[in-house]
Amino acid sequence: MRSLRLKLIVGSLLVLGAVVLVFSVLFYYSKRHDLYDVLDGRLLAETQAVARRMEISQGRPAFDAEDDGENRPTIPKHFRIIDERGSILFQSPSPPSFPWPSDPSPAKNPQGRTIESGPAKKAWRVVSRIENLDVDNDTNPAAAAAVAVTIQCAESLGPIREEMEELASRLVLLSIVAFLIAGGGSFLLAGKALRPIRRINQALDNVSETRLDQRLNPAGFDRELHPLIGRLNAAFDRLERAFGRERQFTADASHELRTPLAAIINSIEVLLRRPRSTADLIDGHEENLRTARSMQAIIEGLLLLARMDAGKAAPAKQTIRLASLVREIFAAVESAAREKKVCLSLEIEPETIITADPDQIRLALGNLIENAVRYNRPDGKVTVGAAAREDQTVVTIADTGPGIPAGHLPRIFERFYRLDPSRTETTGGCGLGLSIVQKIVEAHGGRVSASSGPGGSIFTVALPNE
Amino acid sequence: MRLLLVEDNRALLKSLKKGFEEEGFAVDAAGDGEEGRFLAEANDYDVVVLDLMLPKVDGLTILRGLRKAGNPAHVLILTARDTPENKVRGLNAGADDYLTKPFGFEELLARVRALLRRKYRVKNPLLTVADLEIDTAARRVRRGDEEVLLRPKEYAVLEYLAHRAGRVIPRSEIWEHLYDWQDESTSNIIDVFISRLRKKIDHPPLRPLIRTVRGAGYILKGD
Repeated sequence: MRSLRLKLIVGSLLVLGAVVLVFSVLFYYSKRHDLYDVLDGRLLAETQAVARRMEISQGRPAFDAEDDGENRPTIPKHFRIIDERGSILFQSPSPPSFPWPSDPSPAKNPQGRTIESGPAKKAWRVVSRIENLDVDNDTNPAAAAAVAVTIQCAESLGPIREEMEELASRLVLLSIVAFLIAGGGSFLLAGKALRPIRRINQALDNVSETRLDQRLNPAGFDRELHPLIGRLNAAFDRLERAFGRERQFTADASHELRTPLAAIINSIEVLLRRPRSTADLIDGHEENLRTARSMQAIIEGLLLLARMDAGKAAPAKQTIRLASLVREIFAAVESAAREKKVCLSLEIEPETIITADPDQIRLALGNLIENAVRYNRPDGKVTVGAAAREDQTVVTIADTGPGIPAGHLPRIFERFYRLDPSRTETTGGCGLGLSIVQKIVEAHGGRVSASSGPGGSIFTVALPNE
Repeated sequence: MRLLLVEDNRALLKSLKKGFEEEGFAVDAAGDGEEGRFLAEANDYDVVVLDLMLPKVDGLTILRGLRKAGNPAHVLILTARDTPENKVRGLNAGADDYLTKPFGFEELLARVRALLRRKYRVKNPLLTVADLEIDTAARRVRRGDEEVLLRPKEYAVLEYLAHRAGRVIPRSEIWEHLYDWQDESTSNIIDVFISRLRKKIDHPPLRPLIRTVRGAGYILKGD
């Protein structure tokens, strides 16, 4: 049952059904109890009437059936009198087939009993009463005794049964009507209760990928829905920011690729416009090769980031001696450092080890060290240090460059974010280096951060120890 | 015709400069926004080819500044930003044309020439002064039935005079529109090109079209 409306209707009908059932049963039985009470009271009065007509004649109880009309109690229609031994002293003439209860000694408290008889299951109500009759012994007053007789009065239960049947059928009819009304009502109510869901749906239709700035206005909804709408709006905020970043990234990536592509195309077109000398052609080819290489760096960076974003470049970790890894990187950047007269300094204990993917961590630390050389001042210094802590190893790469302005620090790890775009042309960075560093370090469960001052910048890579 | 290129990609800037110079333009090249703004404000350019994403000062800021100062240079935005919103924003900021990267050099050249015609209020790429015909698209010159072969600078001087035919043009103005700021010549060099042009298109018995207005400059006139 996947329909909320159906669930609401069925649920409310179940509750209503239980209420109607309990009410009907209680009402039915209390009504029956009342009717039986009234009947039992009448039958009890009849037994009393019979008792008042009892007399003792010749030491034996007898019933005076004469109807002389003088303030004598009326004789009930169906009754009998039984003596102590169970033999019938007197019995009213009708009905002949009436099955008097076989138990001759009924309970002390006069109480009605229901007897069913015959193939038609005709039911009768019988009240029994024990009456003590005083026997006057004239000869021996001391021997005066009481004779106990049982008086039983009966009445057909037919009228009560009919009345109860009538009541039952009315209750059933009323229940059906109540069910129909409640069913219709809960259908409408469920529709009303679900209307906000439809309205939220409609409102969500307005918020699409191209219109992510649209928000749901909680003013038009019930108070209970405000938290939900707040959360939806917060989710849209995050989505909009993510789309915004994605769009910015795509725009940046296309700019970063289109511009060198335009340079190559334009250079070739201009070269082909007229006959060229070999020197001119070589010059052009060299220029285009440099431009193509810079495009290659961007594309490879983008591919690496895309692979890592998709989780397809999980680090294959192994134990690495940090000092020898940094020495390898130093060897690779040595010529650039010498050109800029930047001194490379290694301050790592030979036994310091890290657990990392060697290729990835070489790329990450390589990018940081390369940057430290590239953005250093002439005659500057690059210092790589490491501190082994209890649960992590912290690698620091410090330069003596001009530093990064505080406003840029939070954004330098963003893709294609540049402090000053003019530097890329002269330094050859692709704008993705720090993003790649961050991605690799985070894939290792670590963190990279940067701090900067007038004396230079320090990049800190914290890698967890395995 | 004098052109300013503002473009931060060094390779693209270099090949654009080369291409336009070979087409007879005087080209100044700026590698960032600051330099570009300085040059645009300091010189009288016919056309400025402007990138948008520039170091130091971005292209739109330069453009708005030029327009605010009433600079009449025709500006063509050359950028990788290709969305309609960007084009609208660029044109509304006062650009005269918009071309997205990557582009074809021929198209860029044709668009720059179209901007030049607009600047000098000419519709026809074929300029005519009496029986002198200058095809600015093909850079070919005819006097009567005879095709005249001109060197690039000679052509540039003639084209500039033809664009402003009937008006007296000071020597210094011609020089400013034909030489970039790195050139070390002086406006006297214009006299050299005028005399060469006269030998090629005004040689007797043809009626001279280029006349000297003493103390004022030169004029190209049919009658």
